[in-house]
Amino acid sequence: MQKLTRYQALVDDYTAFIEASAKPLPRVVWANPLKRSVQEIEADIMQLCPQAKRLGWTSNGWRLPSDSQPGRWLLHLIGEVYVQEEASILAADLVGAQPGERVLDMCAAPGGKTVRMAIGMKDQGQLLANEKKHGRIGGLRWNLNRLGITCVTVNHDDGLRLKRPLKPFDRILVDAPCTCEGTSRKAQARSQLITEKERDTVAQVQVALLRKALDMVKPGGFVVYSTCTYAPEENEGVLDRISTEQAIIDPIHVPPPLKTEAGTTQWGSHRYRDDVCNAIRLWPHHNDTGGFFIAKLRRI
Amino acid sequence: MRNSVEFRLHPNQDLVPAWCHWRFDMNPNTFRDYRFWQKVGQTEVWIAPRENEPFVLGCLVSFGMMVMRRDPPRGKPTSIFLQRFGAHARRNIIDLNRGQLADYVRRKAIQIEQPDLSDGDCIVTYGRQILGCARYADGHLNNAWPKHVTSVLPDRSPIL
Repeated sequence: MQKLTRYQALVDDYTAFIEASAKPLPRVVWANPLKRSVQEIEADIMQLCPQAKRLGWTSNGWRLPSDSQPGRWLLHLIGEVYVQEEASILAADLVGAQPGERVLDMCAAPGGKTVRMAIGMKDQGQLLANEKKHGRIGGLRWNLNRLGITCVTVNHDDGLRLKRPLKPFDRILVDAPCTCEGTSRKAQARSQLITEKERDTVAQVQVALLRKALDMVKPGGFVVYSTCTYAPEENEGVLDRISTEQAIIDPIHVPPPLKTEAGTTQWGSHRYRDDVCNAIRLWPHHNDTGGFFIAKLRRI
Repeated sequence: MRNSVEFRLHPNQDLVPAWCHWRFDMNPNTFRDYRFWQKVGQTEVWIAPRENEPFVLGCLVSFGMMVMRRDPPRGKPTSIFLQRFGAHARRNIIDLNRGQLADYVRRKAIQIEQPDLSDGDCIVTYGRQILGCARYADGHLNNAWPKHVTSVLPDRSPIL
């Protein structure tokens, strides 16, 4: 937890934050309405895990104890449920992808947010799932197949090298590669300290990806930028490097009872553009989730 | 980096709906909002929403969902295709009981006594859940799920 001490000034209750960051995450599953009705699947979930509790902010999501294994359910194998971190579900939902739209998921693997968006689109429209790492394409396709999605095209390329489409996208999700500090509650979380050089390198890629996304979305279209890290250098600092003439950061309606905090306009000696306060931060001790950062940019 | 694949419209858009109607008594209108595609240089048949065209912004890996590895009648439908569209079928459906389900996920052949079945590809269900496609022949059902797919399931009798 040593790497988290630098966020003492950002968080409202540092002790609660550190304690929550050390606990295992609860499991969260949601139902796939392309396969059966959500009500029918919910009944099966409750039978398999009577302790399951519906998430308060969405009608399609249930929290299970952290030691449950929904990945070994037959329901999971045949794609009737998907296991996903709660904060990650929120990021996908905030894209607001609608049936019939053209949507790009720029860093898609393993595909959790892609499939959640495809379900939001009722599997109608065009969703391009791009992934840079060849070794992660298989997992992405497995999840798309398992959930029975037909509206997704899978592309393997560096997001920065994507050709500009003839017709721009309505919405784009940039779930950017990051230093993943917010995943400390996961079993495979990285424990080493992150160097400044490493953080700078990652931030440069994040800025480039976000600029590329803004170049590919239509005027008035949305780009959701998300990371699973707390570092302002990778969050507000990245947004600050986008011209205010290119995009504004829209306020996010956070569904109750989720508790979030506003993006910070100040970090050390850095003062960021004012509208970064419209971005949201999810801290583990507020909603019993992982750490996450989400911003919704509207191209001018 | 992978090689980019290409897709072209299947020359016979009625082929899969007609076969599904013949084998499973599925209404061909089930597919009215979709089109069928072929991977160029391969025999695979894919399905995607009617309005979609393959995006080519980089290296294309896949487009929509694979229906069969070759045209019917020689090709067999994929389980993912039947899991998605099999609810519209009315014939050649095998509904397993709990004991049969346990054997099925362990890839054991199951003896089926159901006079309305004909040999060939069947849709396997467990109640309202569609498990996928399996081959029925001579009174026996054989699960074609790969081992790595079923290995994640617990050793005890699986439920749901």
